[in-house]
Amino acid sequence: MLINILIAGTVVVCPDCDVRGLKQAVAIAQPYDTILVKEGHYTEDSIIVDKPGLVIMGEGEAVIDANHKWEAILVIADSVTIKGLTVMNVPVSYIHDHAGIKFDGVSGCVVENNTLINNFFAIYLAHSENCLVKDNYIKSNATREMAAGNGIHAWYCHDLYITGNTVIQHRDGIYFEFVDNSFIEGNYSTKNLRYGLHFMFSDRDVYSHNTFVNNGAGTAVMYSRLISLYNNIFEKNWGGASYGILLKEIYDCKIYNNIFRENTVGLYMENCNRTPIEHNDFIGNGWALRVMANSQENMVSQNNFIDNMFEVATNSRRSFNKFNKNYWSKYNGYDLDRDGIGDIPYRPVSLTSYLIENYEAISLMLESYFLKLLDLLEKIAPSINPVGLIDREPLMEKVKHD
Amino acid sequence: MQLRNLSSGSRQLSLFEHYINDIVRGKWFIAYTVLLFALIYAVLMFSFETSQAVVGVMNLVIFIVPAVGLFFTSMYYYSRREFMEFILSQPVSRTFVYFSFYLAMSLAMIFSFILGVSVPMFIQGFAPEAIKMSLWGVLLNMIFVAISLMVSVLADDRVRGLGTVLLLWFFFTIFYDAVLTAVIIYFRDYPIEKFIPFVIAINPVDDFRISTLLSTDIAAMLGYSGAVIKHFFGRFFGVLYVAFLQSLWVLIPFLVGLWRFRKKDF
Amino acid sequence: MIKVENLKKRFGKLQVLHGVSFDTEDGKCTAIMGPNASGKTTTIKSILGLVVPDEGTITVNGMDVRKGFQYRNLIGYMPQIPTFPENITPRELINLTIKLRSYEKNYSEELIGLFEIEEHLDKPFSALSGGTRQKVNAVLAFMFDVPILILDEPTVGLDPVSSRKLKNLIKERKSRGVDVIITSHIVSEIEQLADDMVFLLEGQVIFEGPVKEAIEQTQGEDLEDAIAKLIQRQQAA
Repeated sequence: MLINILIAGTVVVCPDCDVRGLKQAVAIAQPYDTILVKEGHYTEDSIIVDKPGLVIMGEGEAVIDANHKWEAILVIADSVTIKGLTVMNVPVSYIHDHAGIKFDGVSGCVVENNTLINNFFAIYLAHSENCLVKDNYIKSNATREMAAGNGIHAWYCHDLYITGNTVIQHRDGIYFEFVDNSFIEGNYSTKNLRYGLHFMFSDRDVYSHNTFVNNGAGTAVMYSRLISLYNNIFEKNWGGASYGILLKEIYDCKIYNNIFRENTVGLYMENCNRTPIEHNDFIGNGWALRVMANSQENMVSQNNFIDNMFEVATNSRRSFNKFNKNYWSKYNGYDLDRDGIGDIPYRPVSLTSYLIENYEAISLMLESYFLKLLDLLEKIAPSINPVGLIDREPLMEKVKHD
Repeated sequence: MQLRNLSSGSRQLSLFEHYINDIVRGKWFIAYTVLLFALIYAVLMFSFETSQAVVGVMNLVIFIVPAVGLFFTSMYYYSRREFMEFILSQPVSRTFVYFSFYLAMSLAMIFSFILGVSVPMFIQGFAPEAIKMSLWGVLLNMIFVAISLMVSVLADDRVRGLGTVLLLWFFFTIFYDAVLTAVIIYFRDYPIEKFIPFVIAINPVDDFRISTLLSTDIAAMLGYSGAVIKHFFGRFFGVLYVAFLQSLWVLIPFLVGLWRFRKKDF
Repeated sequence: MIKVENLKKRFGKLQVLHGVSFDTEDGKCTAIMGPNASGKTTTIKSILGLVVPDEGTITVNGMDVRKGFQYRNLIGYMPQIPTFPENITPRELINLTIKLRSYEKNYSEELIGLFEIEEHLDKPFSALSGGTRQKVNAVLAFMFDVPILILDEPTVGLDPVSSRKLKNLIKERKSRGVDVIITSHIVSEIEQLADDMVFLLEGQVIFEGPVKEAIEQTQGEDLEDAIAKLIQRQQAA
């Protein structure tokens, strides 16, 4: 292999060259060759890269235009690198998952610094491993969820490293299904029709430093274990069924140092278990946390809950999770012994929040003076709150996270 | 004896003009308008986005406008009861007096609403919302002035009249929602979502509140019921239903009051 | 001329008028008298259409008061101790009344001069004394050339000079053929002004006729004495 690399040649593609297309270049290239695609508009589709180790590099505006015919590039050989290309106009199909750049059954691929415009799926990884997807700019003009594909789509993969990508207006920004031991880091996902991140049946993954803004339904992490989720920003995911994160059937994860700002629901937990939720900021959400009764043994601690319309909602009167030492901006207790911990325990599930969670139609009474009156009564007589969920050591000052 | 025609238009206008003059110059009216302006302006100053501004204004309007419409009309009616004898001893029909009174009172309240609510919204750059708010201001004031005038005409005793008006205010702003909440809890096992829009739409205050919420971010928090009611309000039938109910809130009290006023002893 | 026939009115449980009948004539002043709660105010209010009678008919110059409001154009009315809206001014109220009436000509200027209230015309009523309000009240009633005047305690609150001016005004109108109806507690005033008297007691007319006849009939020393005797006679019966 070393020898192969050393003797690797370069194939140049340009509109006026002998090699006028990528397909032609791949055909004449030897494994581990570099294909240099010069600036130009190449109307090509169904390019199958079947030689291992090829490095396909775009130079300047090297545009592969599938012209709405079929998918653009399909890589079926290992260790292929695709850099600096612009791939566009891969058509919508209801039968075939057309993608701008698709890897199927490969190992060690690199997709870096590409621009993917108006494709059905953009970057697609199936049955692959050890791949780097880095610094790509991915944008679609989809408007209907049914006629849209995902920005970065991975299934049955492991050891992926997805970093620094921007995904705009696809169906799901980043889609993981059966992807283990992978990193999603520093990506920016916005205006996607469904989820900014859609994550299922994937274990032992880390996602950090990502920003998910204004996606149709926020992000969803489901049926997974041992996920670490930190330093992400979930913002302005606002709509009837939008969540900063929707967690469903989750075990043994860690959620820390994230910011949940102005989402309909910051963090929604359904059957989410044994997961510490610490050092997060929940700011200006409709509901900061919605915890269903089947979520158990989670530890909610050292978080800041600031200016949320409802801090915590739950459909159960018993609490199966531990809430301790959080800062609640609605807390108005006192701290006589000056130890920074309020002397009166705090019940973050207000009576109205409890009523709305259990009798959905009561949400129609939002902003009515009757509900305001209930809140007032609860302040005067906290015992009318039927919910057992309680923070016994509410903090007087905001937590300063590291 | 030189006589003019008793049914000329200027006569019609003159009594209305008198009432408007009398109301608008009253210190309570001026104080109310200034206070409303100040409160709304303050709310808008501390609002950083449209939804927050609109909901803030709505909160104030729900609380203040029915109360002032009800109390102000009633208090004004009782304070001018003796003068009413003077007016009625003139060659005017009672229907005409009643109508002038109602029109003047509603327009005065609408005028103070526009000055106190819509103008600050315009100034702070919420023009489309201000227009919508003004339409609700017109409707709510027409309704509560009509209700209050009816109560005042029916109740000769001022204390009883004002007491009734207080109860009605409580009914519209709190009690109706309380009962509805109880119904929702009690009938949780029935598919009440379908009839809730019909029932909630009866209360003009709820109509105003929900239609305002649906136009803001908070719509997303109304969940399934919100979607149902949005669908309901969004259809021609729903709009028609709401418009019909609200016009009944104006017409029925207006006509009952008129009926009583025409045969009342002064 | 006003014709009241068999007027009955009940307020709740209280029968206020038990079939009151009387006539008033043009060019004469008729005093409606009686103790408190005898039905004077109800009778006057019935004529003005403020109170709707249970039974009986009232005609004003031949017009039934229950059929239409136009007849009130013929009546100048001075209510007792009027409370005018405090925010408006006498001038505005005078203008309003002119607009509500259908007279082409009015004598407001002369009357304002007579009662010397020019300087008060543009002040709100809240700033005016009781006497001034009563003068405005008089202007409002007298400023049209009406054939009928109904005056409820017209001199109450007036200073002697204005009171005298008002009485002269009443006499002058009467001499021009106006039908004047007056109520007053001041017996001397009635003696000065009234030709006829209708005396009400507990909702019934116990005397109707010329004032002089009342004195003669009861052999009273004066009107006051006659009234006392009328009441005694009725209570004895």
